[in-house]
Amino acid sequence: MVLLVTSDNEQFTTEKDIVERSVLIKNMLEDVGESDQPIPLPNVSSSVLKKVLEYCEHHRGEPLPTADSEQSQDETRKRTTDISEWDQKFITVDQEMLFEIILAANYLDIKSLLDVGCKTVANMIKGKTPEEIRKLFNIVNDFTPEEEAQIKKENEWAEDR
Amino acid sequence: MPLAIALRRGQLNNGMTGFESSKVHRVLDIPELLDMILRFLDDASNASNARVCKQWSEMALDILWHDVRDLHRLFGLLAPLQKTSDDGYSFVRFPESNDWKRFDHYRRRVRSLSYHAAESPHPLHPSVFDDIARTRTTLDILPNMRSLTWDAPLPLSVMFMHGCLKVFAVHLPGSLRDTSPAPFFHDIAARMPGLTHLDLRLSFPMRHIEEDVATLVKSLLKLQKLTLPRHAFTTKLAEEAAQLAHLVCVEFQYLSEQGTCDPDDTLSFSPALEDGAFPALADFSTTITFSATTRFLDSPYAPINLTALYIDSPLIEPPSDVQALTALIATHCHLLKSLALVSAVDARTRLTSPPPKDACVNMDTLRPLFRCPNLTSLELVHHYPVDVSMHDMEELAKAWPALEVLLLGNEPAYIDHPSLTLGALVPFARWCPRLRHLGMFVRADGEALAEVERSPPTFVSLRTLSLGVSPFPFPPPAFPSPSAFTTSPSTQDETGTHDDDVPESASDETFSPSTTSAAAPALFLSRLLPASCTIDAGVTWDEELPIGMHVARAVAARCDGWMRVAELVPLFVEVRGEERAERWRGEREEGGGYGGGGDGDGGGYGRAKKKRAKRQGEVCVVC
Repeated sequence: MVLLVTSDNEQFTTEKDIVERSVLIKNMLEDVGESDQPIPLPNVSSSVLKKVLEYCEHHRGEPLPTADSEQSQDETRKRTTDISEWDQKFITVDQEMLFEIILAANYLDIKSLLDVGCKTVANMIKGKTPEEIRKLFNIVNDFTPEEEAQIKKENEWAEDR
Repeated sequence: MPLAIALRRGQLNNGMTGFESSKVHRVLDIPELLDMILRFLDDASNASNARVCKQWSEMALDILWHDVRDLHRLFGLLAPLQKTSDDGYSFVRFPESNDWKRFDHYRRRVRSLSYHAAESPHPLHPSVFDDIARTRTTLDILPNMRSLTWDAPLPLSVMFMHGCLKVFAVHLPGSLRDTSPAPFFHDIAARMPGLTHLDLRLSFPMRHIEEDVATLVKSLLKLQKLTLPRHAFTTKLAEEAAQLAHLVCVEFQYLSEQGTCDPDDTLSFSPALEDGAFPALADFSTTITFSATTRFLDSPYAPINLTALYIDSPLIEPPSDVQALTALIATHCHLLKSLALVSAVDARTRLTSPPPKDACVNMDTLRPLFRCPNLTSLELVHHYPVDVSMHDMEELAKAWPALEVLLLGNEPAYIDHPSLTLGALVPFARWCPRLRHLGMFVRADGEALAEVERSPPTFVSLRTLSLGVSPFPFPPPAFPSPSAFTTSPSTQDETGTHDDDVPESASDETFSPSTTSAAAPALFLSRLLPASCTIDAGVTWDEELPIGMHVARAVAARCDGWMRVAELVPLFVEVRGEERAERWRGEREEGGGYGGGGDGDGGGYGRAKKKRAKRQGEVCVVC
């Protein structure tokens, strides 16, 4: 059993093999060895940790990515935004929570969850014009109209691909 | 972790302004995360992303221009290109210094360039290369390029060469048989001395340029990897390559673009090695006979510290030669982790009589390998089915608990008479927790399945089960078949189960698999396989291998059958509760009959035929 403490001081008890999907926690557990000490997660709130643990529980027992497989996966993962059915349902949350999950997956170092989060954001971007993307994420356009036009012209080849 | 550091940096930045502290911006302001998101997107999306704002633009353009496969696109940045009379594109005007200045915005992003003139929709006229060479403002056009792939007139590639290039792949034209490639090879050695990977692609006998290639290889002192077509690594090349201090990998590739050389040039492969030969060689793949391999590895100063060995023999190797090689590997190559012994296959005709025992690889052949303490991957391809027993598989699985990949002759060209049943998978589930990929040639008919364990252990790490050309338990024909081999319809009506007396050729080639015949193997596999495991079937034989019609048809039909199983397994896994799955099967057998297989007359046959044609193309892909 592992005890996790969130930023808002909530405690979560969970199984070691579930939570070891997080490389950060796995390394921490290896460092402290056998001990009942709670693991503080000052960057993760309880609402997000609940979601993250739900994800880890569902994928319990699945092989963890190794250095080798990551390399080969890089090739196949490239430019596919497919998400499995369960993950798709799991990640259907409001925008705030989606980005919180991404931050948590990054911090906790859970590669597969980070991928699901980033793919979901990629899917939000897909097919949108630059103006629509700026609006979606509240981004300020710091290009002059001429600069933007030049980049458009130079990369027109990519648009129908 | 760089990402964790990046996260902290992102947080600091975001603490400063009001609205940026939202979670969205905390993510998008971390370059590594934005980069990861944009990398999932296609070129069209990234063309839009390049115009969102300056930060996004930098990242999107880095992705868009990382690999350039179209020189027209790259050079079109400098000045407009127009199609001229002699079917190539030329500059409308000369590029000026301002054009080169703007070009700076892109050229540093290019890490790899690949140009195949003949396949390009916009082939460039040689004058374009002259104009570029004349007007460029710096010598290195693409200073950060690390990888260059060239399939065009050789001299035109020279202007792209520079000292930072690591990977060079080049298609050598057949005309080099008559003109010496030496001047071009001198350019390679002088301009790209830091090359770590040389990849030569050619389709003419190596003997015509052997001396020059040997000189080139010897002069590339940083070389770590040498890639060649089949039958190109000759005795002479091996002797020169043996002196390279950093050479880790010598390999061949099956891809058609790699080309193929003449087997005659490597028939008598027997390099004379000196003390300290191949000091770093760890990964060796070549196309020589097993006996030549045995001789080579047994010669003085041979590179026995290999971790990976892949031998594709031009012969249907007799088991005695396979065994001589495995015995030698066991005594000499203690570091070996991965071994592939690929013997030739002849799939032109389909023979249905039992294979001659003395032609089949058996446990005596494999047993020496138990002494390789580090072996985790074994691939065996042979014309004949492996002749092993269930007991042997128990012994093998127990001897190799660290096994990660095992492809045990799952695609013999002699596609009938497997010596094992699906039950042979069980010992591997029990004893080999790290097994990721398992390939076997097995029976799965009713009789075979009657013997299997009711509650087998589940594989821990298995991701792929490759059933190759394993016979699929087709139901007997339920209607008059166009095939010559059919039993009378009344027989099947009575039995309702697979009749072992029906020649497999008949059922294989006549029927598409029904759900019912797939249910029993699927039910068994659903107990054995973890949820994420995929099942595949088919062959990975050489693309150029002639395949007889009867073999091709049977393989295609079996593929269809196993694909049906692959579709059913996840359903069973979902149902999970064994009884429910059992009941489901029972219902189907009572109610459905052979619906899937017999749902029509000529129509069904036609559909199956169409699928076959497609399969044949698919299954012949070599990895």
